[in-house]
Amino acid sequence: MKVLVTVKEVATVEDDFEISGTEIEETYLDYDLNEWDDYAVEEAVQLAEAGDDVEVVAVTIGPERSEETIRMALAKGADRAVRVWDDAIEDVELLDVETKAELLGAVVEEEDPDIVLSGVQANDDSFGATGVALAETVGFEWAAVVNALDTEKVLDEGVASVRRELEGGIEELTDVELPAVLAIQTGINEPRYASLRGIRQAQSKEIDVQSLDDLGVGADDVASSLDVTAMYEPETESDAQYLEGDAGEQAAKLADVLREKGVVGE
Amino acid sequence: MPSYMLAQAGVETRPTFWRIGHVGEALFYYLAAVAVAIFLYGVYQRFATYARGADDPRERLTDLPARVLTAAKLVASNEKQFDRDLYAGLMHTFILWGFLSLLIATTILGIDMDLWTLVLGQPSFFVGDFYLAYSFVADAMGLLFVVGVGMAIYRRYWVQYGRLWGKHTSTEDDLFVWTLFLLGVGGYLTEGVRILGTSATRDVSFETVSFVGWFVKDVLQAAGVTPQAAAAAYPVVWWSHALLALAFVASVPYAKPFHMLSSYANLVTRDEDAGKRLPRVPEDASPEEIGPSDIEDFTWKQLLDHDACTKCGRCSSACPAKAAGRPLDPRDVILDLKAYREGLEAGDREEVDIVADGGTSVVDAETMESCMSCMACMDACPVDIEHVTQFTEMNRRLTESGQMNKNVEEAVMNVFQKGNTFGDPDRKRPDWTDDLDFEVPDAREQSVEYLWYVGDYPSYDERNQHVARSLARVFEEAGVSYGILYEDEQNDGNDIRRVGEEGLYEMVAEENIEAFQSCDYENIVCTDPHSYNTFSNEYEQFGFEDGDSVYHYTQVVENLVNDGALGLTGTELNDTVTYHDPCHLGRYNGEFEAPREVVRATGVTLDEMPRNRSESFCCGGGGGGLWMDFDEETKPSEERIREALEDTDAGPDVDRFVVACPMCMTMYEDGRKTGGYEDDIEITDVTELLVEAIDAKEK
Repeated sequence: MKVLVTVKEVATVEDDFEISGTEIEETYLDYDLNEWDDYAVEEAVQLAEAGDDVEVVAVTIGPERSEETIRMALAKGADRAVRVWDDAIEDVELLDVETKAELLGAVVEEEDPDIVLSGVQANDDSFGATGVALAETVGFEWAAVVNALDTEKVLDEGVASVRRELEGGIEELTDVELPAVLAIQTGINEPRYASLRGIRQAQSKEIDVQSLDDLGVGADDVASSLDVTAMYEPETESDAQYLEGDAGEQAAKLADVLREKGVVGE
Repeated sequence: MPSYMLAQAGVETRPTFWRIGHVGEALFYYLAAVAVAIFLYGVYQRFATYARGADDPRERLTDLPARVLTAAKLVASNEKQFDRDLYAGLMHTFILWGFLSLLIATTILGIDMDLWTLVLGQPSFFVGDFYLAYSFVADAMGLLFVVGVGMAIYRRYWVQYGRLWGKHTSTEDDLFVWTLFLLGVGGYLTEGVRILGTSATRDVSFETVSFVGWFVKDVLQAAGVTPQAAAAAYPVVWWSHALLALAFVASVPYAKPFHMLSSYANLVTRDEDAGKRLPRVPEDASPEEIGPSDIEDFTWKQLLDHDACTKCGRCSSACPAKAAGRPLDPRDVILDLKAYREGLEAGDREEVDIVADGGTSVVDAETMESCMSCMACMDACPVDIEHVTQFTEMNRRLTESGQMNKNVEEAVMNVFQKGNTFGDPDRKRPDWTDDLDFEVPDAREQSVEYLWYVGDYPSYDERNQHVARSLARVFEEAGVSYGILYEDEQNDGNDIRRVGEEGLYEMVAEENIEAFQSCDYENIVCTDPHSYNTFSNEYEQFGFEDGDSVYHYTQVVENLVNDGALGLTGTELNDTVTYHDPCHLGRYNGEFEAPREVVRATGVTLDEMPRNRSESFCCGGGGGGLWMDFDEETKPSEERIREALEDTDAGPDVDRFVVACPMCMTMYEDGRKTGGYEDDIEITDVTELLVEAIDAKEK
């Protein structure tokens, strides 16, 4: 069995940062493995540990710098990694979901996995659509916001028996036929720690760099439909008022405020 | 007929094997040989187990004669037993010296009978004055022995002394102490019956030198026992005593009496730097090979540690984690490992992980996370068991198997990504200097006498930044040539190493050494005792050669104060304070007086807490404790502040709780708030106190 995990290197912004144009200055950025993907990697590695002969391949779209991050996935137990990058991708300011699905889809075609695990969303751009879009592109079944997966059923029956988190506290239990894409929610497991020795050892694992040519994707296909038009820090406004008095007086004053602001009727 | 076969009137001696007969004597020798064989086989088995253990990274057998001598001195003086416990010290001294005296006495008699008279055909020397002196000394030392064992029994069963009882207390503990008691008392009974029995045929008045045996004889007589009845009963009494003694000899290697050998061997092979200098892991070791997965992964010395434990419970009674209700009992960890090994050997335990999360392993992850690496257990251990080394190695296993505590993981990842536990950018590291009205020299650009390693907390934590600024002021005031590393400083790694992230420790150690080496300096001075410890004791493992010129700031400041560089008269302040010894400065590195000197130089009255110097009680922040959340009954910091306000001479009149460690500062500022002590006491660093004194002087 082959498990493909899509991972992303995300930017994290320091507390006080400065914006220049439509970007945050590089000085204020740090890079890390996307939190949701950390859970997807853990789920994949647990599948590999529970089954015989399960290969875990991590795939990312990112520049050379992102190898540091993808190495975390390798240190945690992925067997090898694929990194998609090309000058044509670098020229795009903001990759849209469709393009990402296109690129990852090309990797899926090449690798032919039984199951693809992605994170629900990335904590920098928060599109939250790549997993499902990828399923659509490659024609796989899919399930989004998965917070429990029956490992044994995947291995023994080729069925992803999942629990999904829906709005309003409703949870859905679904069986999804493989091959499928599952968008993994945080909390599904406890991601393991990758030790420095582990990361160092993962240096010897393969990271295969794939260009657009290698994947058979045209440069035109990566033209993004999204443009960043502006970037600004929203002003935070807050106003606090302390209501004096004992509980009864405080409640009366609070009622006045609520009426005044139109929160409750007269 | 050899002289010893018969009691002759007028010759002062005692009949050996009296009324036992030739067959009985032969039987005794046969049984003695069997007992010794069982003893030797058991000892061989034990040491064969150690020989199968993994190699120990420390050299533990070099200069063996000196090691044997030092260990003998420790045993003979019982100084480790007297530490913190006079009663136990006396008890052990009485038993040990009583036991050794009786052993020597028996050996002398054996030499006289079997070698001197039998083999060499000489007349027995076990007569006359020699016999009288021998009997007197043996009786006196035997009495000491019985009193010691009696003290042990009284404390164990009557007082039910807390630390003696634990999860692993078992029948072997009862058997050991009662066997010793019966051997002691039985010896006197045998003697009394013999004196009474032989009184029928000779004048026994010289036997009064055996004053205890004589007393027993008197008691028997008073109870109506006739000499004839005593003579008749003697073989039964003698055989019971002899068989018990032989059974005891045979059982030594199989139960608690083995500590007579294993604990001594443990003292011989001890490492005086244990704990403060942790062992490296081999450079080519993969994550799977780091930390113990199986019992075979423990080194021979660690297996010996497990066997050396006498279950005395001193470690657990000194452990701040246990006191705070964290799930750690250092004695149980050591004995759980021993019980697991013995269970595997006996085939009645399944193989499980040594340490893991989930409750099926020998030691639970939570137990190891609870350890504060404060070394109180090792300081309290009378047989030098190296708990902290083993605990760190189990933390390494947790780290390498991905099971690091989540809160610790966050701090550790911050160090990996940002070089500090706060996760703040390195360019902000020198921000604490902004509020100073002078420039802190840059050691990267000018040569300095003191390269000041400021540390994470003094650089980034607001409360501790005040400490850093105070120290900078002291250096300025005294005209010290000093400088800092600005952005090139990184976490010192001491606690990273102690939570088991050896790979990251190696990384920061190497990078810090590189930063040091790019500067021109004479000495390194640290704000944090944790930095001081790892720089001076551990960086050597990574090629750092200046370990001897690393100081804690209190040591440097003590010299400044003594040289009059700060112009203090010792009357500037008049508060009453108490001083808390940081584990890494005091117990780890033996520096107790420098901070006290500095504190006193400000004019304050220094009032000691009962647990001071090497008995200091950890703030709870060591070993990664600072980064974790625990469900604690009373936080160690709260308990310690209570001690300052209740158990000192001045009690509630203690105005300040003086610390010399940024981690302690953070823990006690927290404990002061959560414990409700905000109005009662202030937490002050030694340097802050000094700056106040300087300010007071200037006014």
